[in-house]
Amino acid sequence: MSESKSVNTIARERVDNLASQNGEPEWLKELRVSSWEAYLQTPMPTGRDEDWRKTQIESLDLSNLNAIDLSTKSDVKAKLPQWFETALTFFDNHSGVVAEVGQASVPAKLPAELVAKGVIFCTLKEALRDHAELIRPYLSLIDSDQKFVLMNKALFNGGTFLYVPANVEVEGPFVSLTHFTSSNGSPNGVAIFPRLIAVLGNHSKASLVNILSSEAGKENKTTLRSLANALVEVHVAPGAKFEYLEVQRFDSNVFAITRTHNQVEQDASVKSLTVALGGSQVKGDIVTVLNAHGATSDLQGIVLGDTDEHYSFNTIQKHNAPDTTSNINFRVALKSNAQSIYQGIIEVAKIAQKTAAFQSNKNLLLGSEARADSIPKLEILADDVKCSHGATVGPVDREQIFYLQSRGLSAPEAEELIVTGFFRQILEACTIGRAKEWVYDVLAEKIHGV
Amino acid sequence: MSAEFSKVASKADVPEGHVKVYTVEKKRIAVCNVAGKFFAVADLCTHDGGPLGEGELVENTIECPRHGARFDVATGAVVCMPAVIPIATYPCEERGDDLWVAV
Amino acid sequence: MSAELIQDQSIGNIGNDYSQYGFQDKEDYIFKSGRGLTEEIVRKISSMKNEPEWMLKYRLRALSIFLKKPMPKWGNCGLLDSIDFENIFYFVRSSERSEKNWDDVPEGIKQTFDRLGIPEAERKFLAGVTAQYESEVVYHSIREDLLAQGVIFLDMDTALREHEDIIRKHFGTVIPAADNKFSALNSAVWSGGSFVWVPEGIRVEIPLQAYFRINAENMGQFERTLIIAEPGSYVHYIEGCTAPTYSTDSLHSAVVELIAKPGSHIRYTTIQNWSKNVYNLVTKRAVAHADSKVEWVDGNLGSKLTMKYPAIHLVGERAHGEVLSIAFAGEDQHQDAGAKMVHAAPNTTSMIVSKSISKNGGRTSYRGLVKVHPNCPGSKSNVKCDALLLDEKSRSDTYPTMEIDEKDVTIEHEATVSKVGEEQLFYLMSRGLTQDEATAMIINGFFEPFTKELPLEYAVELNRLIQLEMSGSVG
Repeated sequence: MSESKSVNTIARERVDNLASQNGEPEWLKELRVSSWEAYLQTPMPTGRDEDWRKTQIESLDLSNLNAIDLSTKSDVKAKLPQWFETALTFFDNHSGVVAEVGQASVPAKLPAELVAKGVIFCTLKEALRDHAELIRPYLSLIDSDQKFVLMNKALFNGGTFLYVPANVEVEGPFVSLTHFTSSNGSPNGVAIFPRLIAVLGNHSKASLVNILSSEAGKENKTTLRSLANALVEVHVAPGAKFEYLEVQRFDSNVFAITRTHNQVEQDASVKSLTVALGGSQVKGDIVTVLNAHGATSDLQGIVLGDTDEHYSFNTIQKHNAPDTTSNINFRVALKSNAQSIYQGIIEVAKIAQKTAAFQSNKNLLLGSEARADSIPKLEILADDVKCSHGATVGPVDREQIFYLQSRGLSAPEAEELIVTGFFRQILEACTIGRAKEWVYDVLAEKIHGV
Repeated sequence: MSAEFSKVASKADVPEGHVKVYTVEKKRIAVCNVAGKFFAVADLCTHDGGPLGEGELVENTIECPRHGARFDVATGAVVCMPAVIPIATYPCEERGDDLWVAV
Repeated sequence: MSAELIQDQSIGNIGNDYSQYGFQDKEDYIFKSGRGLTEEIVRKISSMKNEPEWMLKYRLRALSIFLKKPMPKWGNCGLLDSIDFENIFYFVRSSERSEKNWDDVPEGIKQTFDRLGIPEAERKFLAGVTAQYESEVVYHSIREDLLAQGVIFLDMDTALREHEDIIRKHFGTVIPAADNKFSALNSAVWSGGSFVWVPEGIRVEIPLQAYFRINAENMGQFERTLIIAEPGSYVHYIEGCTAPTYSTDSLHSAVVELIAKPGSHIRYTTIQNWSKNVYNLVTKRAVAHADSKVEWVDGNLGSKLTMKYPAIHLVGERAHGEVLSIAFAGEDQHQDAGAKMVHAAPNTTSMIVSKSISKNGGRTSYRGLVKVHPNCPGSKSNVKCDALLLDEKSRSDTYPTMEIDEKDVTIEHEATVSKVGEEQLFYLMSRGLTQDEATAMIINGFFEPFTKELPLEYAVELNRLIQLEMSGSVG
C-alpha cells in the first residue's frame, strides 16, 4: 500500500456504507444523509473567512483520506498506549473508562451501583445499538451550519456516550480515550470522525475526561495530512453540574478540527478545560449557549505550541437568557515558530439582561519566531450587563529567567517553571481527580520535547 | 552562499509591461518586464499577503491589487503604503531567449 | 467639567436638538454637476480646476478602480449597500474663489459660518482657518507670523497650483486610490481639503482649523487633506463638520494623509457632527518616522453611518502613536469607528483609548487593529475600550484584532461594556440633580479623557452637545 490510492472517504457512498455496515436504523441513516446534503450545500471555508484566518485549510486534501472505522472490534485486551496507562493512575477513582484505539475498543466497566442508577457510559456504537431511543433526540438537537460539523454528523463512526439520569451525582470522573495511528504506510492520510455526546439530567452531577490523541505509525510515509474531525455535544439540563477536561495530543501528521458545543439550561453549570498539545493545524471551536435563566459557564484553555504547529481556537459565549454568567480564560504559550490565532466572542442577546460575561486571553511568546494573534470580540444588545475582555501578548520576563538561572536552574528547567507558572492559575481551578497533576506532567514532557 | 539559478520562462512569455507568476523552489515569484528589463520579486504583498503578481506594473513599481501598496521592482522598497515592509527580490538574468531566476 | 458649568446651561430642549447646525441655505451656486458619477464629471472637475495632466490621469485611474472594487463585506453592509451613487451630486462650486477676508465671502455663505461661530473662533484662538462649503474652500487665512516662518496652510486646490512638486511627490503615497472603495472614490472626485507643510524645527503652537459644511441635498463632499511635518516640527490641526438635516442622504468621503518626519509631532482633532442623513466614510492614515509622534483625537457625534479607523504606521524607531476617540450613537445612528496601529520598527509605542455611548437604539462598534511586524523588538501597545449602553434598544460591539509577529513586545487590550451605574445616578440625584443632569454629568466624566485633550472652546461645545443629546433621553 505504498502507492497513493484514490479513496472515497468523504463521499455519499461512504455515508450509505456506514449506515449499512453498522446495521443502523432507518432514522439514523436519514440523519446522516440530511447532514451530508447540508454538507454539500455549505461552501468549503477558506483562509479568507474570518473564522479560518491563517489556518492552512488548503493543506488539507479531502479527496485522498482513508477512514478508520473506530471501535469496530470490542477487545478488553486491546493494547493501550503506555502514556495512557500512566494517565489512568491519576484517575484511580474513575467511574469508568472507554478507550477507542483505532479499530479496537475497550468497553467501560461501570460500577454496579452506577448501572443500577441508570448511568450509561459506553462507545457511541454501543449506545446506538443498546440505547437507540434514548440517544436519538440528542443526535439532532444541536443544529449547525458549519461545514466540518456537518461532515462529522454525516460520517461519524466512533465516539462516546455519557448519560447521567436526573438527580444522580457521580463522584469519580468518566474517562474517554480516542487514539489512532495517523499513518498507515501509504502516502494517503487517514481520517477519524469521533462524536461524543454527554447528557446530564436534571440536578445531576458528573465529570468527564476526554483525551484525543494520535501517533505516527512505524512506517510513516504520509505526505498528505490526516484528519481528526471531532464533535463534542454536551447537554446540561436544569440544575445539573458538569465538569469537562479535554486533552488533545495529536502528532504532526494531523489536521485536527474539533468543535465542542455546550448547551446549558436553567441554573445549570458547565466548567471546562481544554488543553491543546499538538497537531500540525489545530482548529478548535468551543461554543457555549446559556439558554435559560441562571445558567453559568466557566471555560479555561491551555495551548502549548512548538515547531510548525498552528492553533486556531475560537470561543463563542452566547447569552440567550437573563441572569446568565460566563467566563473564559484562555492562555497560550508558543515555542519555536508555533503560531496561534485566538478568537473569542461574547454575544449578549437583547433579552439577556443582568448578564455578566468575561473573557481573558494571554499569550506568552517563548520562541523567537512564534506568532500570536488575538481577536476578542463583544456584541452586546442588552444594556444591563457587565461584560469585559482583556488580552495580552508578551515574552517571558527576562529578569525572571535571569533570576531562575542565577539559582542554578538550566534554561529548559527555567522555561518549564515559567510556563507551568503561566498555566498554574488555570490548572489549579481544575478539580477533576488528580487531573491537574497529570496535565502538569504532560506539559513538562512537551516543554522538554519528549 | 550563491543561489542556484533556474530557468523559469522564455522572454517572450513575459511581454513588456506585464507580470507572470512562476513557482521556483516552492516559492511563488512574480517576474516583471519593465520597459524590456526583467525583474523577479516575491508574489506576496507584505501588507496582508495579497497576490502581487495579479497587480499592475506602474512605471518601475508593482502595485498590489488588494489595497494599492506599491513596491520598486528592482529594490523591493515600499513606494506607496499601506505596506511598510519591503518585498523580497531575486536575481533575474536573461540568458539568450530565456529568463533565469535565483531563489 | 464642573457641575456649575453643566447647570448653567439650559437643557430645556427635549429630544435631539440639531437646530444650531441643521438649518438649510438657499442653493445659489456657480456650478453644480448633474447627479451621478461619470468619466465626464471627473474630467470636468479637473478642467474647472485647471489641473495638471498627471492629476487628471490619477483621477481617471481612481475612477476605474472605484468602479471595479466591491463594497466592503463587513461593517454595516445593509447601510453601505443602500448608498445610491447615482443620486449624488459630485461637484458643487459655490464661490468663484477662496477669500482671505470674511467680508469678501459671499453674503449667504458668510452668514452660514457666522451662525456656526467660525469667524469668532478664529479671532479668539486659531492660527489659521479654512472654511469649505460644498466642494470647495470659500475662506482661507493664516496668521502672518506663521507665513513668515514658511508654514504652508492652503486649501488643496490652491496648493496643487502653487506647490505642485511637493504635492506630486506625496499625494496618495500614504493612502493609494486602491486602498478601499471610498478612497478610490475620493481620489477620483476629490475637491478642497487642506494642505499643511510645516518647515523643519517650526512649532505651530496655536491650532489650525478647517471647517467643513455640506449644504446641498444629496451632496457628496470629498475633501482631501495632506499634512507634512518636517523634522522636529509641531502642528495641531482641527476639523469640524456639520450639515443641514434633509430627508435624503448625503455622502462625506474624505482622505486624510499625515506624514510625520523624524522627531516631529502632529495632532489631528476631529469633531464630527454631521446631520443624521450623512454617510461619513473616511480614510485617515499617518506614517510616523523615527522619534515622531502622531495623535488622532476623534470625536464622532453625528452622521447616519460613520466608518472611520484612523491608522498610524510606526515606521521609524521610537515613533509613538495615539488614538483617542469617542463615539455617540443615538436613534438611527451607527458609529463604526476605531483605530489601527502598525508597528514596523523597534521600540515603537502606541496607545488607543476608545469611549462610546449608545442610546435610543443607536449602535456603536469599535473595530481596531494592532499589528507588530517581525523584527520590531521593544514594541508596546495598550488599547482600552469602554462602552456605555443607556437603554435596552441600543447595541455595542467590540472587534479588536491583534496580530503579533514579534516575540519581544508588550501588547495589552482591555474592553468593558456596561450601563450607567445606578449608584452613581442615585447619588447625584440625591444631591438635587435631575436624572437628565445626572446622566449628562456621568457621561461628561466618561468622556473626560477625550474632552481634556480639546482646546477649551471645543470642550465646552462638546459638553453642550452631549447635554442636548442626553436631554429627555433617560428614564
